[in-house]
Amino acid sequence: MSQDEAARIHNLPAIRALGDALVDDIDGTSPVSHLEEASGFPANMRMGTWALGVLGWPLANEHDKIVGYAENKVNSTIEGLRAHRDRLHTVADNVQTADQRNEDHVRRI
Amino acid sequence: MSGGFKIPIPGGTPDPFQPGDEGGNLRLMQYATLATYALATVVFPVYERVLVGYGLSVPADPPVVHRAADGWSAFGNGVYAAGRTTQEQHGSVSSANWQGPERQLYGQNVADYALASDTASDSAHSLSSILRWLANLWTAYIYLHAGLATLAMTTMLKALFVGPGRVYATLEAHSQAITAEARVIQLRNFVLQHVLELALKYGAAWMAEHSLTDGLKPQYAAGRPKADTAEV
Repeated sequence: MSQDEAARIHNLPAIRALGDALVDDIDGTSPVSHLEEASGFPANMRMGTWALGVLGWPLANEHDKIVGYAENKVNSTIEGLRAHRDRLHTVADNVQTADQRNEDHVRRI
Repeated sequence: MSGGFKIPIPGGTPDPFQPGDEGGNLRLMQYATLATYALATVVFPVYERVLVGYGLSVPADPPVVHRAADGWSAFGNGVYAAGRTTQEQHGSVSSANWQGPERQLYGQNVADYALASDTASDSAHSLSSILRWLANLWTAYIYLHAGLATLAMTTMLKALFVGPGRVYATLEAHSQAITAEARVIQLRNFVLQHVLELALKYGAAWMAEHSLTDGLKPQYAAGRPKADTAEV
């Protein structure tokens, strides 16, 4: 009983604000803006095959591959965070709908 | 058997030589040996000095490597800051606002995400420091070669004063003092050294692939925020 009651206490604006804070990049302190800043590698971050000497090409190739991995990873993480924000909003909307319905039921009864 | 060893006579009975083996004529083999020695003493040294030696000594560009290290450093800081910010944001919402299993689930996701971003940031920082080491080593190498080139130039300047003939005579004496066999051994060592170097670098690349990409490689459905926040 008390567990059920506890699960229904929600501060919907706070949940929505939490979701928005994930992607809000106006003040430049949200995770997404940090990641976007991080994924902007400097120009020529991919060094090129011969940048570590002629015999160093396995290392240089590997480095360039890792740069590609990191870019993919950061982009997919940014998408994941945006999806997370949407999910938090969905949770808040669902809670709101459920409360609305409960109130309607109570009123009808 | 009692006569001991007898020199085989071509055309005798029985003829000791078969049709293919030139009647014991060793000239072909001798020419081949001569050609091998000529290759070892004349052609390969020039090849080694001019083509391979120059090509293999094209140095890394330290500024390029330093720039890549800067990029990795900034990347690590950004990813670390992203993980920390997410955790702070989650912590800043008081638990009274949002109770129940959703908060726990979301908190778990946030903790996973922060851990993954710490791992990625560590990988990026180690890449950055390795690249800085490499760049500094290459800088030292370049200065070393500048010093050697200065010494060579001093020799040439000396040749201007004492007469080029003496320097040339020294060089020629050096080149004649070394036998073809020694030259072949030198060449083998040269090739072995570079093959070993290449193998070392392949090994380093393999290790980088396996140990420096933690959290950087996209592993699908691992390390990224999970898909199932509880929906009420």
